[in-house]
Amino acid sequence: MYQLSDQQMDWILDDIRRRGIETEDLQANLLDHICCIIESELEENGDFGQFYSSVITRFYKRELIEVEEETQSLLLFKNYYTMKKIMMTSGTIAAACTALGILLKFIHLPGASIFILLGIVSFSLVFLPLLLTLRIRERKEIKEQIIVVTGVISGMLLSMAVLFKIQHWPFANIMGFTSVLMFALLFLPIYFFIGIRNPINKENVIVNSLIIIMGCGLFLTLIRTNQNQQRLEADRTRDYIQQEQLLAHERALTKIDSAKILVQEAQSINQLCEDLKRKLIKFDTGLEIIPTSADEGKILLSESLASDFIGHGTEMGTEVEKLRASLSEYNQKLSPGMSPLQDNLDSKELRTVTALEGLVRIQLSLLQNSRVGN
Amino acid sequence: MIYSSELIKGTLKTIILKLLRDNPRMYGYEMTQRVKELTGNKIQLTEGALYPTLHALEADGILQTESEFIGKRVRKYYSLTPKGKTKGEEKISELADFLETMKFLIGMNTQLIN
Repeated sequence: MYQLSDQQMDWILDDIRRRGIETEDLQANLLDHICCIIESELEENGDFGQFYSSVITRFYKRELIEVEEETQSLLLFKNYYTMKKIMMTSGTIAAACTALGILLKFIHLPGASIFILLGIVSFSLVFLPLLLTLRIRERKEIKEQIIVVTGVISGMLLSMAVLFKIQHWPFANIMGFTSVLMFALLFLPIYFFIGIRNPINKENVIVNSLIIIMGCGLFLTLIRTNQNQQRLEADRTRDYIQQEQLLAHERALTKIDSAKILVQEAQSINQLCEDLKRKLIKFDTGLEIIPTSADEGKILLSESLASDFIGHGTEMGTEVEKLRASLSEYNQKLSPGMSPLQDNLDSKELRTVTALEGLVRIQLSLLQNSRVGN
Repeated sequence: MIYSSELIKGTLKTIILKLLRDNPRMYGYEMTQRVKELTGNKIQLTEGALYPTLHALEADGILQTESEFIGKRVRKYYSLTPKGKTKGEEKISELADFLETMKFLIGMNTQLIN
């Protein structure tokens, strides 16, 4: 009977680890098993190295790491049915929440965004990752696994892009665009060329591929190109500049009589509007100007949301509250024939350019009222 | 004749549960040796399949382990949990029933061939 030394046992353990066995319990089991074989089968003066080399091959077909992989695979399989159940539940919740959220959105009831958010999160962060894990396990062939990976990852990216878009988080467009490109240029060719070789699925693969191409095409049709986006922004900026020009023109025509009522209040409101406009333009474009000339050309107002800058507790939020208080005070003192003033800054999805136009309208109304007063 | 690993694969869990029903605790090497003895070398448990199955049964709460130091190395002894005892009975009777059905099936096929 061969007697193993401590050094030899350490050497065996190191070799087991080197060959890819990571689970400690499995390392202990294999070490003990190999030691038992050596101690019972190797003669007292036998060649340890040579015998070990032949013994270790009994444990695998190609590599010892197969034992580790098989263990991990069986441990995962233990949770297979639980994972499947969670996948189905999360998928049902996702579909129900999204449908309910959209319904609430269309009938203008509160809670829509919460349900849509819940739906997208459970779909892209629970349902799809579980689907990916389970399908990879079920599909034995590498090419089938590649189809699953590219398809599911594109799906996750697309739904996260929609989430980012509705939450006004950055990189939403690039995520959406990448997901559709990945789906069309990576998933689709792999799916098509692998699937078409199988005569049983050939027709389904062709039909599905056509549907995917049309789906991607329709989605990409809805995406505004950079050129279109720039033209739209230029148009919006031009409209706003025209309003500023109108305001400047009206100012030139209106003589302010400081003896008339509400003149002080009007000046203070006017100043607040100017400050807010300057800040909104700075937030949106980084420039500190209020354009009044048609050929200004220096600014291009984007589709940014003013509501992102005018939060409660922010400097601009405080100014908006001050403006609102001044407007309310002003409206209470109106003479007959004067129009009441109202801001549009509490709207949730308010674009910067719309906010700017709203402020100009207040300023124009102030001028009109001052003429009535005169 | 040594049976092919394909035949043994589906019955490995049941073999382990049966061994542990008849012995209070066993370690991996001991199981392979006992099966060899009992079957006159006809069934040799593949070590590569034995340990993954033992780990899965442990994770499933069917087996429990005790570790003992044998010199410098650790030996893991496996035994049945209460859940494992019930499961063991089920698996053994399921296999016995399966073997009866197989006998009938093979017998029927032989008759057909003849």
